[in-house]
Amino acid sequence: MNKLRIIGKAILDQYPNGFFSLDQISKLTGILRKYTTDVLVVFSQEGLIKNVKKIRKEHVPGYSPRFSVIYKVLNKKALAARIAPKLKEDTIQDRMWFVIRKKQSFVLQDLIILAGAKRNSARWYFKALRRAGVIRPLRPGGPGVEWVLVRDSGPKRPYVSRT
Amino acid sequence: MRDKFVSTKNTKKFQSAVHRINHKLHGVERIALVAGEVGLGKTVAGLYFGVSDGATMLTIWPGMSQHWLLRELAKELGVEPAWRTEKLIEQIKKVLLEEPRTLILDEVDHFFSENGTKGIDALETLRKIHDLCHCPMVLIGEEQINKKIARIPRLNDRIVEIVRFEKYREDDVKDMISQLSEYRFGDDAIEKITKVSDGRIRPIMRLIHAAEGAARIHQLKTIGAKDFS
Repeated sequence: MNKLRIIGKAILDQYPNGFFSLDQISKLTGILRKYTTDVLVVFSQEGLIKNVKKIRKEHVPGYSPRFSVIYKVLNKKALAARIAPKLKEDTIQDRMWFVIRKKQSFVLQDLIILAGAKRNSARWYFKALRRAGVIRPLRPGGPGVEWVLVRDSGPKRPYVSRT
Repeated sequence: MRDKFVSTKNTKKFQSAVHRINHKLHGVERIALVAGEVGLGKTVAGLYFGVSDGATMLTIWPGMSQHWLLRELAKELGVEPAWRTEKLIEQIKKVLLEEPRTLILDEVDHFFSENGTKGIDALETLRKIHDLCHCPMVLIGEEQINKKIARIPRLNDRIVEIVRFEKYREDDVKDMISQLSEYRFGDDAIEKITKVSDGRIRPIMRLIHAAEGAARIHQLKTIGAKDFS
C-alpha cells in the first residue's frame, strides 16, 4: 500500500468524527512527519480535507519551526473513493456487474448469456462477490441456484480481492 | 441447452434500431421506441445490447416522478445525486455531454399509470435531456405504448424508430431450437411448442428445456410432440 492509501485509511478508520492532527497521523501510521505533510497537502488541494487550526510549537534552537496542525475531513465519500484501488474499465467484470444490478435476482447462465462471460469467470465472480457480502444464494447450493443482490454499490463494480 | 443469446427476428430489429439512432447527423433525432406484449424478450434484449454498447439502463417504477427519475438517472450515470432538480439536470447534462452514451428506459408504461401529469412531466424531462445532450434513447414499453406516447406531441415527433416485438411463429421457433438445442426436434414437436407457448419466449425456453430433459432420460435422438408436456 502506498503512503497516500495508508494515511487515507488511517483517517477514515481511526477518526470517525473527522478531526485529526498531523502528529496523530504520523504517529499512527509510522510515516515520517514530512511525508505525512505532503500527503495531507495533496488531500487539502483536492478539497477532501481542510486545515482548521495551525499553532506554532515551542521553537527548538537549531531546528526549523514546527507546527501543530489540525485537519477536518470535508468529504468522507470522496476520500474513500480517492484511496480506493483504481479499477480497469469496460472489463468482463463490468459487464457481469451490469447484468447483476439490472436483474437483481439471477443465475449463473444469465452472466454467461448476457454478459458473455466464460463459465469459470462467472463462477469465480460469484464466489468473490459472495465473500464480499454483495450477493447471496437463495438456497444453500446445487445446480441452478438463484442469487440475489443484497448490496448495490452503484454502477461502478465493487472491488473484489483475488485471494 | 446451449448457454447463448439467441438471435431472433425481434432482437435483430432491436439491434438495427439501436445502430440507426447512434448516428452523428445534426438535427436528426435519436429516440427509438420498442413496443410489444409481455414475455417477448424486450427487457432481455435491452439488457444484452445495453451490456454490449456500454449503455445506461434504467427501469421505470410505478408512480415515478420527475425528481425521482432524475435522481435514479444521476445514480446510474455514476454521480452523487444533488437535492435540487435544477442541479440534478446540470449533473446529468455534464456527464452525458462528457461521455455520451445510449439511455435505455424500460417499462415506460409506468409513466402513464397515473391520471395526473407526473409521468408526462418526467417524459418531457427525458425529451429535454435528449435535446440538450443529443444522447440516443431507447424507450421500452408494452403494446399500446406508441398510442400513449402519441399524446405527447413533442416527444412523439422525436421518435425516429418504432420496433414492434412480435410473437414467434413456427419458423422462428425452429430457428431458435437450432441455435439452442443439441437435440433434433421433429416438426410436430416444434408445432406443439409454438402452440403451447403462444409464441412467447419464456414458455418456449421452458418447453425446450423439458423436451431436452425427456430426451436425455429416454435417450432419444429425435424429439417428438408426445415425448414432453
